[in-house]
Amino acid sequence: MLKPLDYVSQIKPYVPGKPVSELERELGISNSVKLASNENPLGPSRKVVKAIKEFLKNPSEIGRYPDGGGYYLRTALSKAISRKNIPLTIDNFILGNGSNELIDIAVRTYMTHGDEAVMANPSFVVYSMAVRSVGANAIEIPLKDDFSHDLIKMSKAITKNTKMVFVSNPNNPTGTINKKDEFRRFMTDVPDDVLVVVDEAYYEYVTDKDYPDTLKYLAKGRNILILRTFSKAYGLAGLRIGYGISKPEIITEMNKIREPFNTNTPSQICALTALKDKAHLKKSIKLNEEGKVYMYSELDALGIKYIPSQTNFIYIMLQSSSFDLYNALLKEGVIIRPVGPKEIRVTIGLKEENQRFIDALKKVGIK
Amino acid sequence: MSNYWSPIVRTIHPYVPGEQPKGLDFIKLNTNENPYPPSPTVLQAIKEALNDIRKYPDPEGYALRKAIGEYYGVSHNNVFVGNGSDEILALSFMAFFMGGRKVLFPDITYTFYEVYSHLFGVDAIVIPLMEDFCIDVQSYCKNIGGVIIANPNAPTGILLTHEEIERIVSTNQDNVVIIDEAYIDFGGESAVGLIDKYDNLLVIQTFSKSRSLAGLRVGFAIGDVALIEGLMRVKDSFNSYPLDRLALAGAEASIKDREYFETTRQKIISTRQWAYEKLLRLGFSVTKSMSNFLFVSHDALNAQTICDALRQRKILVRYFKRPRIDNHIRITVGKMDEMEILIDALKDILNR
Repeated sequence: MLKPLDYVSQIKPYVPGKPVSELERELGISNSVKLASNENPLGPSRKVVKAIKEFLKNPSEIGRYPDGGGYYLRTALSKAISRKNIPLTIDNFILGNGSNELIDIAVRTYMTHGDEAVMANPSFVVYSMAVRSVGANAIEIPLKDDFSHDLIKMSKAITKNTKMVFVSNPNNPTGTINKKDEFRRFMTDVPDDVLVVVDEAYYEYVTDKDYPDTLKYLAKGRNILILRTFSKAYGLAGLRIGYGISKPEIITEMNKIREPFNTNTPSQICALTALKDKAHLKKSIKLNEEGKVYMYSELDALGIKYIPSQTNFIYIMLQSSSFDLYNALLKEGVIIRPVGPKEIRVTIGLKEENQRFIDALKKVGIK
Repeated sequence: MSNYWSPIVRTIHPYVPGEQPKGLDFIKLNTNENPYPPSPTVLQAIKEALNDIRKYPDPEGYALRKAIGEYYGVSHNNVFVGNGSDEILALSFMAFFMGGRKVLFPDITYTFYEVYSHLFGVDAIVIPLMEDFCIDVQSYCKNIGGVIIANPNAPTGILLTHEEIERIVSTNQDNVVIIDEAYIDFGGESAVGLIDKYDNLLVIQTFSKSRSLAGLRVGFAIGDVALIEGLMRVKDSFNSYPLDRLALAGAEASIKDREYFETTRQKIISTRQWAYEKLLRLGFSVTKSMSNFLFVSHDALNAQTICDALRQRKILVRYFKRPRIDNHIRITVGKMDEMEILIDALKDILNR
């Protein structure tokens, strides 16, 4: 009998949130709202749709391979993100099939059997999966009581075998950030032969003034890889495109592992267009802030505990089973994500979607 | 930094894609893209999918797998979809070959197999093509490691028969045999029909060639349910959503439009036949290609010279500076008018 390799059999695959249509079919419901995958409820800039329609006017272009180097998008990113004191060029950027793929590429570039990577728990599950899939060890350090990374313990967990440290900032699923001062100290503690991967998937949503400016460390020549995405604030989750910012020598090595055509033509066009529509980004962030205020006040009124968020989702701590609440809300047509035995994660949606969630929460009476 | 790279990365030689020049005045016969646009239904489907791009795509790619399954008469459980067949090949190395197994493939074939075996630390047993560039079938029938065969092979275009494929699959019961059918739609017969009989066979195809969707990056694999499950597990441990909404929608529409597909592939086959004969008449040696490209050499003029001369005439073809084939060029079959220009240019270059 033919079997997959042992390590493959042992992998516990990531279970992504089910598509709404699938859940609706299973439950026989309609008109449900999905607040489970941290998507931007406004969607992308309208200009994105226009750009694709324009692209489709010359259908032969779909038959052409994408620009594997993503020249235009990387150039635009370098211009958009560069600052006077931190000049960046196209060589500081790598594109990924979602920033998710870049996690995998980074791991496969720098890690092998017996190596270690330090990360927080709970944090984005893909870090540990990617690390284990190359036969390396994932050293998981529990979050602090305030649900942010315990950066001091994480730096102490670094050994001579450590190749990489993952910092999810803001952290998924708790929505917390680690601030400037502690991050600075952390960077002092981390030896220079360890790559610091800072996952900033929710970067655009952060409002805290003390959010660390990671580009500074790049400018200082540190081995840091900053990951960002178009899936969240830019509203392009359906397209799978993210990017990494690092030193040219790190980007060069990662590019050897990257498949030459990992991002397709429409994704590159959409991301490029989305990047330029700053007004839409602003609008998305404003909506998110308003939603947060509403959710906080309603949750406070209900006496439900949550962690104030720097993202487009809220981590909520219940007194009873998160799966019971998940199932009860599902029947009300509200999809959220259980992320622990008593913890749920709720995406901040449109005003009426947030209301649907709060109403359903009141109706099912589970706290 | 250097002592900090993994040993594999230090020595890796990445795949070099063919040139994609900016500007419209080149005739591009260098990357085996389809000269015809995709079916109009594809464009419509992509436009409709735009309504939902704020949402993550279906991680299982159910609708597309079902449509592919219907096309080939298999269940969606026998179908895997990925971000181009290159990604599926990578996942296959991880799922079936990594961790001490060996893999066999020809010396002259799609260079990704070598790139991946190096990248994933899988020992490669490289088997030279025979003198006439045909695959040495017997050497693969030893059940000593996984097998990857491109059928038709690239860049030669030469096709193995159904019987030869079955011989390789049936003699390798303990190993996965991958048949990479990127170019099968240009005159070959898919080995998909054998998956019921052999649970070690994985057939990989792409939407980039015969279906004109190179810009979308969609590939698929068909095989026994256990093999597909192995691929799913590996995929889900890295990147649950590799295929985006536009790609899923475009590919699904494409595989459903059989009539358009038949028309365009027949056009390419007949253009290839026309060009094949012209090239022979110009004194080229031409392999019997069953793909959308021709693999040629000329006694009077070396390949690099021909390539450069064509480039000056704004025609791009592919030249591989690799042992055994460094006097050959690979010419993608374009539209008829493009091939006429090519033949005229070659006449000119050869002074005929």
